[in-house]
Amino acid sequence: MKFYIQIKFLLVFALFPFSLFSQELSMSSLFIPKALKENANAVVRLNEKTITLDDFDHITIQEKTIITVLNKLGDRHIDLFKHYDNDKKITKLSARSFDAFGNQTKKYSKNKFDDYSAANGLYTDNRVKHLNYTPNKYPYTIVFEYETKSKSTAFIDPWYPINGYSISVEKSIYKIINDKKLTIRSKEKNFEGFSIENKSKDGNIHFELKNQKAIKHESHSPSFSDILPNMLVSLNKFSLNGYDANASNWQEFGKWMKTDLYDSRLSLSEETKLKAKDLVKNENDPIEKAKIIYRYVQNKTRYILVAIGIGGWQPSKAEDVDKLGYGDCKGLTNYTKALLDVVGVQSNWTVVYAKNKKNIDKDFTSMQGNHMMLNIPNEANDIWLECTSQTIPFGFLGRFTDDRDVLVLTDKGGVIKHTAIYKNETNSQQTEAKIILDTNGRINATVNITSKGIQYGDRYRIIDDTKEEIDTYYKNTFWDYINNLTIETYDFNNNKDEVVFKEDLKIFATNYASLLDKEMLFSPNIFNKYTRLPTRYRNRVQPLKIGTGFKDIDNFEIQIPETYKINQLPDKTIIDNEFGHYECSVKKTTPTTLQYNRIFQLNEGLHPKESYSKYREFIKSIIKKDNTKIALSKK
Amino acid sequence: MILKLYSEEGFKHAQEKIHLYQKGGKDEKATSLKAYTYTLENGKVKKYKLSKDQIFKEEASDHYSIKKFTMPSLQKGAIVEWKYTITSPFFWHIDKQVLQYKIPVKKAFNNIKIPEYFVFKTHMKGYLSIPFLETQKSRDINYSYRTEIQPGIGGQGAKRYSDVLTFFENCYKINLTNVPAIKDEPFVSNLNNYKSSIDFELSYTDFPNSTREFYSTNWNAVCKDIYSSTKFGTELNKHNYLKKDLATLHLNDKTENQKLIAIFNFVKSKLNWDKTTSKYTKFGVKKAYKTGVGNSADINLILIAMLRESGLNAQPVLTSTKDYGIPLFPTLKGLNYVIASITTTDGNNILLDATEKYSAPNILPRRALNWSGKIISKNGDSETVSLIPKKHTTKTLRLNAKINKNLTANGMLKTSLSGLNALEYRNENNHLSEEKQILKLEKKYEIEINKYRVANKNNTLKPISCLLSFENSDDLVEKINNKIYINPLLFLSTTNNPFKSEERNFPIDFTMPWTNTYKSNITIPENFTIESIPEAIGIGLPDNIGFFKYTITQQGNNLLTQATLQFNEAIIIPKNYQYLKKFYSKMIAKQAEKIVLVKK
Repeated sequence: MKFYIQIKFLLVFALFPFSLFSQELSMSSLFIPKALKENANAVVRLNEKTITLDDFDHITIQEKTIITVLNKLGDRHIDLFKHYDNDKKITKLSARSFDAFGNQTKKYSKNKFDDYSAANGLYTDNRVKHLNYTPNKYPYTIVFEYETKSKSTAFIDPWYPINGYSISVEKSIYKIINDKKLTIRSKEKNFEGFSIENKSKDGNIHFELKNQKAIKHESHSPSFSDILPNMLVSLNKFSLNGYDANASNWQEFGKWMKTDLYDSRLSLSEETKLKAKDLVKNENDPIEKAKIIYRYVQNKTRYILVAIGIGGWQPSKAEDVDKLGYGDCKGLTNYTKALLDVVGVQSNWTVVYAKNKKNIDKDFTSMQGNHMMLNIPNEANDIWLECTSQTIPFGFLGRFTDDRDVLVLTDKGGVIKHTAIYKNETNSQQTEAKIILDTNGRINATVNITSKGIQYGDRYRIIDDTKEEIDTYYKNTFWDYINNLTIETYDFNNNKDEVVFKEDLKIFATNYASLLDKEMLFSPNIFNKYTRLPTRYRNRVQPLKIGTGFKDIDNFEIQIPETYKINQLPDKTIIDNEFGHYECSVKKTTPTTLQYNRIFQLNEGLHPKESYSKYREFIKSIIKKDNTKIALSKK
Repeated sequence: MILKLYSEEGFKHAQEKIHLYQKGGKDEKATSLKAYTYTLENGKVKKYKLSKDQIFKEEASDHYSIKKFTMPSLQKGAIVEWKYTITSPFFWHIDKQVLQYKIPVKKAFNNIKIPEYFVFKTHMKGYLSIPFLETQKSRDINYSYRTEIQPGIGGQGAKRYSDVLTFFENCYKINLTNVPAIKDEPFVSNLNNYKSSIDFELSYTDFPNSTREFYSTNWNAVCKDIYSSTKFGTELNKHNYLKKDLATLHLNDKTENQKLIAIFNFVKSKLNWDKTTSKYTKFGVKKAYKTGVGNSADINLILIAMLRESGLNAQPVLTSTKDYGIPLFPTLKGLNYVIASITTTDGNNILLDATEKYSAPNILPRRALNWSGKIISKNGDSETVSLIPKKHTTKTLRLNAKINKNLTANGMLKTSLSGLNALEYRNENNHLSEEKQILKLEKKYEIEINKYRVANKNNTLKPISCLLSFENSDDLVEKINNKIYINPLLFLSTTNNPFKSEERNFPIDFTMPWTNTYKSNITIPENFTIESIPEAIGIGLPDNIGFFKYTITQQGNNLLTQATLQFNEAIIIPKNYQYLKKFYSKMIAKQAEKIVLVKK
């Protein structure tokens, strides 16, 4: 799957009027309160953003940011760049640097900034002005100021007063000046527990956050936007690159997007229409028809990032994608929809946040999302099509877009729906292996692995890899703990209809068992060791989030050398708790055969921070059990 | 370019970026661009043309624009073809002709024609031999010109003349078939060093009725060329700007070594490297000195000027960084870095690089440890100097552990790092909080650390020394059927062989010689006695490339283990790969052998 971020979505603008800035704030970094330096690589001394709504189609953004960087990890918080395009002009831009004592060391005006294309794909109109700053000594302070003017009011910068980990905030101010009394909606999230003051009045918005200590990053935490304060803002009447809109709810918003930006992009040549009809001529079932069209699109097209027109919001015309054989997510989704329309299968454009799991906010209507896919209504079992991949099975989403709220553009307007959920046990991996251990400690084995659900999505793409890449994958990634591994043969079966991936391998590994005078030691869990021990935190702050659940089943039959005998074996282990289930056992089935069985199911879930150490202990004991060795003694 | 696409994975090759250089009002132009995709549909070849509106021009920066396109209507088995002409006013620059790619090449054909007035040298690189045919051909250019109107009485009007210029062209023809794909491997510092290519570098121009103008012919000429540049020699000879600060260092009564250290530390703390590499100054020494920011030449030329000003015998060393490649031939283009060298009164050479805060005399950052450099003396003469340190970079770990009756373990680990190891440790850790460093080590060793201390963090003249202690580790020993099994090096055992691939094409680059020493002292619980301990072993690699030594001895209730892994060469050639792989495999198997304890 291709990861696509539309640049506009990501821009977190910040604004501020230069003249309003008061000089009381010392540029010296000597007097920063100690509490703000704890765990911090940088301190936001001030971030003041003022958004002036000149009209529904005219917006001025001013921002001033003063950041003191304490060490080299803090350098990345100095974002000395600003994007612009045909619609958005940078009217002011400057930066100044100060040493620890507050003496100004450098000053950069607008023309000192480099100017280049923001393209990371084939083309985009978006450009960026950027300043490359080499710090002199730590700590140092940077003042960055700019002003932009834009005719598009569709995205109003949200407020993220705490914009990262290991950075503290002395003061963050967010203002919207709305002299025209335009209808604004706003939504506050995760404000509780933070010192935020609401100073809004007279239809203007004004929030301030003060003296926020740096937050440490902790693994297995909920996502940033789920724990830190943020505020979304939107206008009911707004403009997007000259397209005016009026929408106060998702139904109206979806209707506008569909009729103004999308409906006109569907036309196809008569020849293509005939071809599409011809492809499905023997099918009556709409789902089967959709499968045929989807396969046709997958074979014909590929993903190329092109962001042109209406801020990158409007898809290329279906007839162009038909002609070129490539497009971005919008273009390819729109093309698939156009073909489905021709063969009489109903489908809907769908806006989604792809990759990192994030919902389109169902209660707050505004420009959201960073990706597009297709929805086919199907009673309670809607089908979702990812149109940027040439290989993904029909209706399969994987980690990219699973289990989240999305905006579906239906004939009746926008509707929020939830994509397919892959629950714990559906993400399965079953490994069956027959192993022969010889007197030199070498193992020869046949291994069969069957993966489903999210684990299918993680795995199936190796089928397209080269022999060397496959070899490297097993040796360096999948079985990196097996030394001296040789992959003798491999065979893959990708069943796209059932969404099942099978790997059949023949392998050997020398020196697998370690040889002692009278004994041989080896770990019977040869092919599925869990190795990722969560980091130990002395004071866990954030809740524990287990993102994706799974279920692994392992059954290994191990043939030992005739000259050795099996002694006492470890007892069966069963661990059950709120995080999941683990069991493993090893049994003697014949005098020279061992049977190893293991089940590990991890449950997706959100737990209070107190559960973290218990979870870590759970994983630690699993790692220990997975590494348990048994001793065979010489007869 | 004609490409056949066998799979979807290959589609990414069906696009082109044409980089066009522009400077001083002159620019390169790409014209006559034609591109087609051919597919086989129902037994018939179909041809799709790349339309003009799908060719995008991007102003990438002030000096470059990029023409980009991606081919239409791709499918498995499709063939794509494109063709264009680049016209460049920069006659002294011919793009490097790359002849090997990450995909195999069936046929490569290059034809390069250079008028006799321009004499280019050719540099070949790579593992593949490139046969090329050099011929001379005569060529005529018809040209016309006009004379000026002659002044004076009876002056003639302008007159038009035409003439033919006949000259030779040097023609280079390369005709390659079946060039294998080049693939990346671990421990290769720069794959481009091995990629087959041919590069042209202007050596001199020789126009009729004018003298020859030389560019670069041998190392001496190259160095002289650089030395005489206003962005090198001229900059190096400026010294008024630094006199005042130098005086404040009070170096008059100091020894040579004290002067060197004082100036080196002064320059390191005053100047900050902007992460760009060049043999020429970027801001100029004066400006760099004033603002405290410079590129590699700004900073190291300041260092040299200051050392010279204090009476030391310092010279610049021209070189190239590892990621830039190894210059095998005398070349101006092939050099992109400059460091400093001091010849002491007793005749020793000491190398210095002040771009790196944690570097020390003769301890250079990894990027600079690239084969050899050229020392330039004051008269511009040059001499080759090896950049690879003769002294091994070392890492020594001493572990003391006590196994308790309940089979948990307590202990201490002391780590000392010298040379490049110390430099890189400081770079990666010095700015981290103690808590973060502990988390890193806990992850690495899978132990729970209760105390951690680092000595000589900022004293780059001394080795780094870290001390940590751990308590109640419950998974360092394993109990099976009333016996206890212990790894002699506990969590310091090497368990993973970095050399996994079956074959090796390119040398393994360790950057410099190195030695790792591991020592452990394990106290066993009193109620247990030793049943067996692994035997000692010593394994060597051919040609004294390296060795592994491993011994375990018992002293009462204590087991002393010592392991040494040493490599005497920075580069190991592919011929020795299989030995190396087996060497690691044996070493790991040995370290997996356990100490076995039984109850008394």
